[in-house]
Amino acid sequence: MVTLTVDGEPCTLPRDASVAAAVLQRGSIARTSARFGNPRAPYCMIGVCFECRVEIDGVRDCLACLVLAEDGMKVRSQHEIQPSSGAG
Amino acid sequence: MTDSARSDAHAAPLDFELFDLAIIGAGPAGIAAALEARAQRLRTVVLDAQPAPGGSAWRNVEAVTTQRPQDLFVFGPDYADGFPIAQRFRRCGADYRAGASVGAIELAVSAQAAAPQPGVYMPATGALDTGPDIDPATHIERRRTGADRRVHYTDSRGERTLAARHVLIATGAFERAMPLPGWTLPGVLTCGAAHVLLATAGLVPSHPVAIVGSGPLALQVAAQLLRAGVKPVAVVETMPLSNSLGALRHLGAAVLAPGYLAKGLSLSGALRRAGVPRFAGATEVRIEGAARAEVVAFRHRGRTHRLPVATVLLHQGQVPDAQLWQSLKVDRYWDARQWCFRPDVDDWGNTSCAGIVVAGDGAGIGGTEAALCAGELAALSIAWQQRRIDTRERDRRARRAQRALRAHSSMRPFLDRLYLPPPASRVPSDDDTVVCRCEDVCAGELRALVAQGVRSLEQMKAVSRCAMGACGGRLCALTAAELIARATRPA
Repeated sequence: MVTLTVDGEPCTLPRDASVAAAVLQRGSIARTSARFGNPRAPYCMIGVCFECRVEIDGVRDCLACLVLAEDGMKVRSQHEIQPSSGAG
Repeated sequence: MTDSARSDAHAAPLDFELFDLAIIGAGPAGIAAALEARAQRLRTVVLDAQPAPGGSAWRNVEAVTTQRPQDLFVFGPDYADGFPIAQRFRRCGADYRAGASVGAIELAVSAQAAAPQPGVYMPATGALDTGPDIDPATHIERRRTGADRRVHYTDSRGERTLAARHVLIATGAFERAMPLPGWTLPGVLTCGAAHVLLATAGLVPSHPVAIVGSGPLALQVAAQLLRAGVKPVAVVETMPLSNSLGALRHLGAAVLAPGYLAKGLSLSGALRRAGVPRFAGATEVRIEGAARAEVVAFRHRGRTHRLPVATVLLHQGQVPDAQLWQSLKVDRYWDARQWCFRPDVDDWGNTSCAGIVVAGDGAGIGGTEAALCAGELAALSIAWQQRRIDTRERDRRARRAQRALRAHSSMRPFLDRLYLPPPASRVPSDDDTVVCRCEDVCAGELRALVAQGVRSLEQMKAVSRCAMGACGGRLCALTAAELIARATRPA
């Protein structure tokens, strides 16, 4: 098992779980949408939808469903409305 | 070399690793291709975004089999099949790189110039090789041959690039977007996501859980949840009755395909025995809630139902992950049966772009068994193009996979027709429903722009930002394109 924090709350889950699983297990959200500020949580779990973008140990926009949960990780949901990157 | 160029040197290493074959994706198609490519001694690298091999079908199968075998029954017999295949893959001698997300494939300039006419293929090695390419400034051999393709990818160490004579795109499929009112609420996930959470984290969705949509995976996940001790409060099936009637004429071919109908009936039986209510032909489905999903509302046989829920699992079939092959502008076509774009490939997966091959669900939905066959055939063709085997040997080795592929494909017309998502759940009629999740663009806004004269997805992207977000349009491009097509061609 590994233990990490999601928005400061501890969360323990199996070793093969992703950070997105931790977000869901906490009942937390990943981010608020850029334009309307609506809550969004992990949706596809396979790296397609990009809804699970979170901050992991200070790095923004990590795809939580593709990152394995590790002991001591600090995961934070992303709330600031960011200017669109223009990429894509 | 100037000082500024020297300080830039770390940005672009000149000495790329060179492989005979780069496979993108370690699901059934990628694994089967790697096994056959190694049998033909191709120097093979496999890049996969996930931490372990198996793709979506066999997600985390190695760990589940070895560390919690008591849970295997939850996922069904097809899942357990993945373990020995993943083990063979680990030992096959391919350079397997987990956690590697491919961002782009680049054709070397000379390869682009040498690209044959669409639909015509030729051996890509030999004639195009130009021998060692020594950089005059650094004296490093760049190992570029005229036939290389570059693959740019990101892993935990940062951005990296490798070169390969052939690139096999085996990136599989993802679940078609189901843009219902409320589908962006937390608590709403795909059925595939539920499978991933169960396989990787041992998590089940919060009760009460409703499954909304249609398709084999929706029934499979419902059965999985039952075996994991969670009884769905409802399976709200959106496929209309006309689908079943339309599918009937494909039933004759479907009974020839091994096992599929029996599997479907056994899943239905499991749900019936468990007493899971099924609402076939439900319409006007919407998910309501303030900060998360609280209610699923729908019409069924003239009545309105409102079910309290904590979790909603959506599914209406799968579509190829077109991102990489579409970025290379390979020839593609619209498949009205599968309701998606597919790359125009020959029987071996070769695209119109020399050296670029697509196999598995990424080329059109065929399922796990078909993907295994397609991967094997693609590798045989690549080995033949690189002159590792002659034509006779290729055809001899291909026979088994070709026969199996035909058998498994005979099921598709039936499944595709039965589970074709209805128009109402492909394009939302409700103006406030989000179409583009990344950029928060709603259906009403898109329709207003069409009324103002927007006539293509490219125009729509520019004026609305729909399909311009982080996911690259994978969840909204089909919806937006159909919305434009319907508004401009009502027939």
